[in-house]
Amino acid sequence: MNKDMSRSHQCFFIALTLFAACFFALSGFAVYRISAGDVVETNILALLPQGKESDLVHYADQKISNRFERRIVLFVGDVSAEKASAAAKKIQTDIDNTKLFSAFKAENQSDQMRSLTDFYDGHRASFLTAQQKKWLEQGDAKAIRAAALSQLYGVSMPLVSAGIQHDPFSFLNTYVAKAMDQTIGDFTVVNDIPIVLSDGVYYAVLSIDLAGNPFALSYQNEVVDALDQIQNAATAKNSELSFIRSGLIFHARNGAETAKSEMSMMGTLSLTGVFLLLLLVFKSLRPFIVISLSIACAGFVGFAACLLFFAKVHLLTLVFGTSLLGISIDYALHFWAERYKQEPWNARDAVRSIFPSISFGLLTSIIGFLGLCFTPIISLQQMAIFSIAGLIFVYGCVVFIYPVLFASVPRTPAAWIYDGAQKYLHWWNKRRERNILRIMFALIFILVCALPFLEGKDDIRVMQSLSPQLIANDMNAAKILGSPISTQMFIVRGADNEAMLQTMEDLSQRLDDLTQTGGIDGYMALSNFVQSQHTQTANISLLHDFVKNHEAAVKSLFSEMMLDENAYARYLAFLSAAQTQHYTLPQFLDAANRDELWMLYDENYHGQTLGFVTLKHAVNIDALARIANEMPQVEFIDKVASLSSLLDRYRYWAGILAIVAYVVIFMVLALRYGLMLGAAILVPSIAASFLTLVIVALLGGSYSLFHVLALFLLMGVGVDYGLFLVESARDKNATHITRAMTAIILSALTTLLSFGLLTTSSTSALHDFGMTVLIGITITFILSPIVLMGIKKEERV
Amino acid sequence: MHLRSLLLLYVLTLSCFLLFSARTSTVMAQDGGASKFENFFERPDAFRARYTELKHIPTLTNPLRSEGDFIYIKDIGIGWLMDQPFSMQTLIGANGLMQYVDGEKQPQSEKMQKTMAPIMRNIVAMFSGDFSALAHGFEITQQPANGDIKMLRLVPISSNLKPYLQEINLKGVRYIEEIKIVYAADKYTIVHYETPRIGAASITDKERRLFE
Repeated sequence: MNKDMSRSHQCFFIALTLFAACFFALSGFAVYRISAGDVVETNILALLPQGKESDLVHYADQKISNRFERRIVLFVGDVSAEKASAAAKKIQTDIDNTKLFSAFKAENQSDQMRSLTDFYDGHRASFLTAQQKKWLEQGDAKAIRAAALSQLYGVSMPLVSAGIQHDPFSFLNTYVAKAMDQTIGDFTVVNDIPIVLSDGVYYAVLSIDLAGNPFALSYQNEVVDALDQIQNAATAKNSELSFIRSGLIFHARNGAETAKSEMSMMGTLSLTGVFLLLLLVFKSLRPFIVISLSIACAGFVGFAACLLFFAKVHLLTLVFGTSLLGISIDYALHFWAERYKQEPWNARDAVRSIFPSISFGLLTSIIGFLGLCFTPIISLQQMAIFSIAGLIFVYGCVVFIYPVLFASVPRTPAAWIYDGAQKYLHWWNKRRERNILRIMFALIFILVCALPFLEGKDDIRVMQSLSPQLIANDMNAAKILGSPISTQMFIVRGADNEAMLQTMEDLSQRLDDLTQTGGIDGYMALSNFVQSQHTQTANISLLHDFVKNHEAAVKSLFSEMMLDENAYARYLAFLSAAQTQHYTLPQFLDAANRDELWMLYDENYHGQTLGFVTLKHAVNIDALARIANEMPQVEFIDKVASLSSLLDRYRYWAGILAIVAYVVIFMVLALRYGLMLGAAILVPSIAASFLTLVIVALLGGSYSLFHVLALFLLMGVGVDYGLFLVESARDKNATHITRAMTAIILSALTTLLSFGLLTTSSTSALHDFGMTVLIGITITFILSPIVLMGIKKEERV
Repeated sequence: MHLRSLLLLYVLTLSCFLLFSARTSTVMAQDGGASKFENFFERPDAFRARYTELKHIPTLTNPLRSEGDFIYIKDIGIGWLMDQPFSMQTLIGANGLMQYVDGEKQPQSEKMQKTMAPIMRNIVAMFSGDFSALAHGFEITQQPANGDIKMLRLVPISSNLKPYLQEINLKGVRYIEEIKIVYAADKYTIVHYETPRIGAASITDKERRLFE
């Protein structure tokens, strides 16, 4: 006997040593990886399936989107344009002095405009609008005459001071006006500050680039404080000034502040609740401290395990993986519930008593999560590895560490919860089992039939919780400036500038058509400002041929325009010479000298040239996507739709895997407990899952990925409840089943305290997760004794 | 992170609008003492005059000369009904700028209309004698009179407008009789208004309908 005991001790300590060694090895690895560099991925685009498309989306995100993330726009309003401009000038200086922002560039707007118009002037024969091309192609001399004369004799002010001898038809002026159409609303410049009028107030518009990371909390606070101070100082001098701020950083700060206050409120309430509950029940601080430490370490182990397989762990994995780890609290609570045993406390015996149920519970949970590993979705794979590693760690703690830590436990736990468990089981025993079962199965049948009609929906747009005040600011800003730029964009690829521009010209034609039909309000593309060499040649030839072939009409027009008699010959010679004079895209970009235009171009992306086309107020998304499908060198980037569809796919896979997991778990359970009992163990969590989805869909109209993810927690917890009750019922020990029920009550209460509070979160994902757990755990707990009906009466205690 | 991507919409909007902020339009500011010019010229409800315009463009052998009828109808609009050297109607009304050459309407892009809108407002303000409105876009100074002829000088406030429009000079006794628009030193337009007629009867129904 002593020999056996000694061998058992030896085995125990060998296992304990191995467990500790694994833990320290993993921890060391994680610390090494964390110290080696950034290991947490925060970019939601990283969730997109890997491939060329995602690389390009990432690249576009970096190239276009990230620039705008670092920009804020400040409107300084006054009834006087001069006062608004003067105040903005002062604010500009104050902002520069803070060093928190990139220095304002001393740009002379007029010089920049002149440089651009000079460029156009130098290549005036190359630029034609679609309408002008049509006139030339059709040889419509009458229309050309009318357009030229109306420009010359009309009231329009020429934007480009092109010499009339080299642009007698005034084509360039119309082209430039059209090109400018694609850019901005009606601005004017007073003392080099752009001014715009809205509702009788003149707004000086300051575009400010942030010097730091808009997602860094300390930087956010510094920026907002500095702007507050600057605005207050300006208002002290002129009380009539009004301000509107718009930019990502304000929303990011608001989001961080909201999350901080929610986390602080929910965390405090949840921790206090769990702490008080465990203290009241076990009359000791140790359970709370040890359980909290176990779960915290389990989170770290889960994180470390993910780092074994992945270069970076996604933030989403950390948030939901940690939540799924909540299952592990059951193992600890069952250990502690063994304190209700009448015999003297023996921690090793307590572990031995719960060992089969927690081992089987761990096994079924691992089966449940393992399915997620086989999805093509990285974050789901990470969540699975995170949860499995964490659960194994807590299981190891309960089996190997707790017996050492809790060799002696001085106080006896509170009886009230044990009595409550006993009464609850008694209440169930009194029910007519067959009736309950019939109702249950009828309910499940109805729910299964109803499920296909429930709508699953993941729209990333409704997942945000933005401040109404900040949204009002953004709306005001959009109202002042005109149509909003959409998050959708096109990327045009080409082997070189010429190929890219040619494709972009084709795309522009289609976008022009879509603009006419109201599919978009407009777009900004380099092809609105410059043309491919192919088009330049074609345009000049078209113009040259028209002038040559309609000599009489052109000469007559020139005469009407008071041009001298040599004007025709001179113009024809000019067009002949122009046929060999092409400009390049970089030449234009240099002349324009605008970051916003350089931003739309990349000359070397994996050996290709890229052009970006941003859209204004995109309405007909389907038509835009169709255009890209029809053009092999064009990609349509719709970040919002991509992310929403990604979440849709996640939800679909998660739902399928939950079903597969239930089937596999059932097979495992059936092997040990038989078909009936195996099914009975699963009934509470399956019924709770269906019921929860129906309730959620009834309340909110649809269910989301985060509802489905929470079903995995329900599955783990529900199966555990069933297993613990079944194992305790088979133990033939009168108090074992009550102890199991006591642990289940505690588990349900702690889970509800931890996750139920999430329902108050203004963050949609957390709210959804919390709501599912709140409803699901309540139902699972209520139905958990149903498993006892799967055990023959004579087998029960 | 979804927040980050969603909010881009707003930021993209705001930033792109700053591009090419040098595009032309006019400044509108507060009165700036313009009220003293309120009755500088008479402000009839309807006005008609024969006009002659000379457009001086350096590369042309002679200035471009055009003639026609000018009409102004309060709260409706203004129009130049050119009949020489060819037929062209230029109208500025509630629908913005409209042009007809030999009876055919010339295409005007919506955006071009928007660009021209403030300029049109100033032109209308100039003929309606609404100097409060004009003061929003111009620095107005009174020039020494030449006998009965009063003179005003309008210089655009907007620094991005200045390279394209240096100044406008208005001359007249009761009504504006001459407008000189100086684009550059050697590029300017002079419009003379003669034989003015005032009152509703001076405008025909057909002419009124042109603004519809």
